[in-house]
Amino acid sequence: MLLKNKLKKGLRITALSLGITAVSAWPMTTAMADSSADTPAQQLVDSLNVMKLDHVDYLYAYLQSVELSENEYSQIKDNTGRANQIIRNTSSIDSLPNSAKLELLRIFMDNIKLLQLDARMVDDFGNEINILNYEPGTTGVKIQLLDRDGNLLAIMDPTREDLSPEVLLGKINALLEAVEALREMSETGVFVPMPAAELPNTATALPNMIMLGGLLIAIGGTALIPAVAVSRKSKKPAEA
Amino acid sequence: MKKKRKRRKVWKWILFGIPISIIILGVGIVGFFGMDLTKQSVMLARSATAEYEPEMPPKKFKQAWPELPAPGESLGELNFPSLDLAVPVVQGTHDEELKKGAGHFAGSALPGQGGHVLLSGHRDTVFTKLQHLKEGDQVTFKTEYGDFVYEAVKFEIVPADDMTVNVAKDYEALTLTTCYPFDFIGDAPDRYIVYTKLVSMPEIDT
Repeated sequence: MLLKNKLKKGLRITALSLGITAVSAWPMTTAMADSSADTPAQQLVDSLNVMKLDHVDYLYAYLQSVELSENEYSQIKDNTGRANQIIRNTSSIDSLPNSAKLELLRIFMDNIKLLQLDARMVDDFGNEINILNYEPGTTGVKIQLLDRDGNLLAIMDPTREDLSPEVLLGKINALLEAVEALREMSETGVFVPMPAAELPNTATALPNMIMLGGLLIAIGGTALIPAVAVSRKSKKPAEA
Repeated sequence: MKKKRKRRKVWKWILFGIPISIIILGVGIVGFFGMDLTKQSVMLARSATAEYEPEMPPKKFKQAWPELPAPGESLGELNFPSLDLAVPVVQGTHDEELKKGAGHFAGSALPGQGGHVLLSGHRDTVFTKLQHLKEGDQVTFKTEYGDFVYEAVKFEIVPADDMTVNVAKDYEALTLTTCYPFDFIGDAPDRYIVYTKLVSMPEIDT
């Protein structure tokens, strides 16, 4: 009797698990899961996030307005492959020969240009850096990404960690993933909005600064009253 | 005597041959890698200085706003009849753009594209009066395609890092955001959200 019950229970569990497996393998269920998880738009956002930019929204929108030819796409793909070859077997970018370092820089510049972007190196205050007279350590170096009309889209703030082979490789490959996501999005012929994003930062220091200014005026004004009184007092005997 | 001279000749060859071979090998290595470095330097210089001519023109979307507006470009005007307020709207929500008026979040849809339009502004300039907007009040977005009329339906206060408001939608809607509390001194920690629903929109030929 006990054995019969156990067999019955076992059969029920087997039937249930088989049912779950069958339902999960059903084409529509899989498609629904995929559509909610990794859409090309989300892939593009994720790829841009790997670059550690200050904002991704302008770049996200601008890249959708860029039409890439097959040739340009192949060049980006080849450049990425070559960068992978150079970096894959190295433990540190510093140990690479100068020609390889130059080639990596050339690949970065090439891919930026193929995406119809412009890269500008600036200091912490946004002033363009002239590499020929730049003194390392005097100021931080940031990379501004601009569109074809010179509008600022995003700022990259590279750190020492970004020059580790894994991180650099991740960024180079993320750019290719972004391009692949863009090609998929391009097929729709319409602008694809970002799936989800943080709210724009509307906070401003303006009221704080105005209040600080007002406070200083008040303190200065208050201090001026005794000063004027003292000065008048000291003048009186001289006049007399 | 002859044998000695021959041996000396061989030694001479060895004596000079080894360093000369080393020098030739060195020249070869320097030449090979130097050439590679020069090639890379020239290619880099060309990449850095040459103006790139894209093979394809900028893409035109098959919908309203076929060309992507540039950051700071005017998109129209936002009118609040109940507040007697008109606010210019520009593309983009970064610092420079928000100084020009309310900003359209570049990653969101534009009016007429059938999606979620998100506009943001500073609480101490363009959106100061937003706190007085009431449910049922109309908001008109005047654009080059005509007037998009919306009605305020819901108000919400969310943390600044909220990720549930600025999301894509598959229907025409407008959401306004600004900092909250309105009278907060310093960087306000929250955001004031005004949800609206579409009342009417112009017919758009694409």
